[in-house]
Amino acid sequence: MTALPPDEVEAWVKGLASAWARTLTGASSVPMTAARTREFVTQLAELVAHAPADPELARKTGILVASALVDAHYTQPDSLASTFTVLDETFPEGLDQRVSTALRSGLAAGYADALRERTRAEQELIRQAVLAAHRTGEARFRAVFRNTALGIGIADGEGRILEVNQRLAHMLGLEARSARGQDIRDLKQPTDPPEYWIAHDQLLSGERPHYSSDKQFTRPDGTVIWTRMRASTVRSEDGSVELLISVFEDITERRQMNQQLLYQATHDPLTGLPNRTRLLEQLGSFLREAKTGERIGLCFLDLDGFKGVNDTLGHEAGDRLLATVARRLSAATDPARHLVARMGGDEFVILVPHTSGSESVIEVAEAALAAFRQPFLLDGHRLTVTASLGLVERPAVGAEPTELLRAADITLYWAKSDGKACWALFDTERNAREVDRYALSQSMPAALERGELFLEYQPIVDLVHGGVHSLEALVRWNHPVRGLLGPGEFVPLAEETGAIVGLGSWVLRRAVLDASGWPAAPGRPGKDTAAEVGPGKAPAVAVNVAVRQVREPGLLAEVHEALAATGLPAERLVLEITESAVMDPGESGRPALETLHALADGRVRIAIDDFGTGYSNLAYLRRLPAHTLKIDSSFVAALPQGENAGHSSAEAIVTGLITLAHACGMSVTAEGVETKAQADRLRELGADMAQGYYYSRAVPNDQVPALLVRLAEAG
Amino acid sequence: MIARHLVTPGRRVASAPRNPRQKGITVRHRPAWAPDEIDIERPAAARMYDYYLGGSHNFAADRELAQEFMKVWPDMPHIARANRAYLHRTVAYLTSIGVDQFLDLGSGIPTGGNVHDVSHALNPDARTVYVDADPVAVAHSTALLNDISFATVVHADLRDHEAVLEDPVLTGFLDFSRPVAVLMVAVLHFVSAEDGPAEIVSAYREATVPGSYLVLSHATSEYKPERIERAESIYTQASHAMTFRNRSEITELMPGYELVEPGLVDVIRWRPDPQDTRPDPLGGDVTRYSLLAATGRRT
Repeated sequence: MTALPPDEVEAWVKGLASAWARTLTGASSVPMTAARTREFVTQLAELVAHAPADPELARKTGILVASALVDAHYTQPDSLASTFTVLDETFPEGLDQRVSTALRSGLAAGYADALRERTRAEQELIRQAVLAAHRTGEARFRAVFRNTALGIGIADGEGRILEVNQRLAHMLGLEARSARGQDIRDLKQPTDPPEYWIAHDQLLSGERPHYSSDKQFTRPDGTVIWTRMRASTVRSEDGSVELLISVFEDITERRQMNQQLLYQATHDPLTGLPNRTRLLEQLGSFLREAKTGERIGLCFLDLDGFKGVNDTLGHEAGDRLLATVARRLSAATDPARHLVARMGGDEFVILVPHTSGSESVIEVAEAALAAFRQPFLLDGHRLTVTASLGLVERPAVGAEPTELLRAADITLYWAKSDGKACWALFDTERNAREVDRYALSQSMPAALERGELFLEYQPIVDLVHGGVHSLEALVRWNHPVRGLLGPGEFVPLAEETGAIVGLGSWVLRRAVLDASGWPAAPGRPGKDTAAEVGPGKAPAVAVNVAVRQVREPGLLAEVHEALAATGLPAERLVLEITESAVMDPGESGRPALETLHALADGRVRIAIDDFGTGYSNLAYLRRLPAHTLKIDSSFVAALPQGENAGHSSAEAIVTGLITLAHACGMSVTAEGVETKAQADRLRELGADMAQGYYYSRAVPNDQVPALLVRLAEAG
Repeated sequence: MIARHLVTPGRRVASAPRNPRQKGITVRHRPAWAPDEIDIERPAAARMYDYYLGGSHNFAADRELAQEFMKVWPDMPHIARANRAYLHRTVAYLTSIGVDQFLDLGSGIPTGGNVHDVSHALNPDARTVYVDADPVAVAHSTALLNDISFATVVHADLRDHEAVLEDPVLTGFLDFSRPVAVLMVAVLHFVSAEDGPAEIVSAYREATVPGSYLVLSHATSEYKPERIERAESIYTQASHAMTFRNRSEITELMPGYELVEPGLVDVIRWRPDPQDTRPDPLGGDVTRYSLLAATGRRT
């Protein structure tokens, strides 16, 4: 537009640019800063202001400017309208209107063309993007379908296989090609549970949208694969099932591991037998499902003396023995009917379901015992091992697993105490008695505190000089429910439970206290007038001391305290100890002997009680610091009367015992003397003292003085 | 309403499927091996946004729903442009203070003038990663970035922050031991409350070092409460449901960030170009925009 002077052109450019910038604001989809917009429209204004005068060429300028606008994202049609407006408003008057028309024509045509091209290009771009996304997605899907560790199968709504991937073909043991076209129901396997195929029918009929299950495949080569199968359907627009998609995850290894873990959790690694957990499970499920009339039996087996095997041959040998026992027990029982489990240690249990009475379980117990008849070969040793069994047999309904096991365990201890290598059958009455005894032992400490226990004294008479030598303290229990109980009814029990320690120390203190109040026995002074004990002296008190007490470290101190508290001279205390307490060395045999020596050194007298009833170690006897031997009443009772006197083994034994005691420097007391004849005979045989009903029953403490007088007069 | 950015369902289907074939099947979690769902019959928030901006990267279904929305919110094209202008201003600002790594979450359909264009023009070393879950948007971005070395695109759902942050392309492209600007521009209103938007934002915050930035814009419900219900219901037919939030709800999405001046403000008030004397096309009426914007620095 050379018709204008340069300064006017410049002014036009400025005016056009600023009006354009203002009117185009917001018309671009891509924001431009104000400065950048100004720069952009100034460039366009320059083009317009310098448009050639030739209308054809000016039209081309219009096309150029329009496509620049579209390129700069001024795609809102408003952009063209506002461009026309600013052109109109700023077009210099002196210019050829044909140029203006040509510019507009070019702008309109160019804008339409550029926008159409741009639209087409963008549409093409977005379609390409869709296609690319499809390709990417499908390629990925195909890759996944081919390479995944999952078996994937796709069937149509009729159940015809459309596609299986390589993995599923492998699981089926088929070629993927040959699987296509087959009906899924042709792939039924005998191991499939019926519900698996019922569910597939429901999937195909549209009754259920998905289904999952564990599925086993047996491949043509016989290998078994376990899978987790999930199936779902895809429906067509009319709602009918179009596709059935099944995905199989190989869980063979996981399953094997689970089974192994389950096996490990329920089996004993040493013997391979089911363990306690498994036994309780089996027992529990049998009892839960038991019907009325069904019975169950249980054998609780424990090796006799297994600790000895471990101690002498070592734990490894012990373990091998247990493994052999497990094998023999398994062989001796019927795996189809019995369950042999190892409870731990050397304890085994044989579960005998569906018994018909105690014979059923006894039969199993006999078979188990028979399994021990052959010696066991261990490290070249031929070892004879025995076992004891506790049996329980009862109706299954109402039984509890733990209670059954406990009953069998209790019964096992009966078998043990009955002499081992045998079985014992659970007996409700015996159990009730034991429960009763247990309750009694439990109530003993409280009874002591309540003063339900008291002492009575039975005199021990001097056979030579007459008169009372000493009195044996005997404990009684005035039980509020059971009435008066003698020592035989609760002392052995107290020894078992350990209650004897508390009881014994009470008896000791009480007896020493009572004895300190006894008067001197009336009668002629004997030859040993210096002695504290004997005619003319107050009698001694004899107190029974249990094995457990002797082994308690505090006995010595207790004796000293009791004596010190009452002032009773030590010589007037006799401790009666059974021979087993001192003869059986046990683990603490030596300290027991030491205790006795210490007591004897303190001038306390020791009597060996019930002599001749246990296994007496005569060599040991010689070293005992005992003063008196008490001959058990059973020998006295066996002494013949009348003309047979002098001709019996009992008399020979008594004579022997007396000789033996005297040789060891001990005096002899005969127990259980009931008749004058017995007393006379014992005196003749050389017994020193006697005790029994012939002289007196045990009397309460307050009757002791009168008793002393009576017996002194009688003597 | 604003839909530059998009979080297409990808592996998760957020709203009821429109595809009639899917009737009767409730697929909330599609199996991992399934191909992406590409359905041009279903309006995509990303392509609707392109339409608002005047683009043609869209299909009839997108345009129909966008026009439906514009009956409720006729200013939508202006709002979309204002949002884009904010994005440009904040990227230019961040580049000017030295930030040279940008993670654009829910980047959508790229038209001209994207984050990498703006940042790279100011700093040739600036790098940008676009993340989107829409396979079409990703394919389009891939084509666009074909010859560009300083920007790339990752196909992932921003809600699955672990997948995004562990993506090998992403970790190979950005250095998380240095500050990164995380962009969530007009995208969080497509994340429903049950998806835990605050937890998502905080996961990205935790992945970046102090001195990193969050760029956010979000549709607000405060100015035109009467329109919200209708607007949200229209988007239930799109790939993404929309959730408008008020100012305090938006603020709660950004703990751990110190907002740069002027804080959380109407989109056109965030650091406007002082040299820009052009009139605002909506007369500066912020209620017609209903869009709040903020840029914050990780403390």
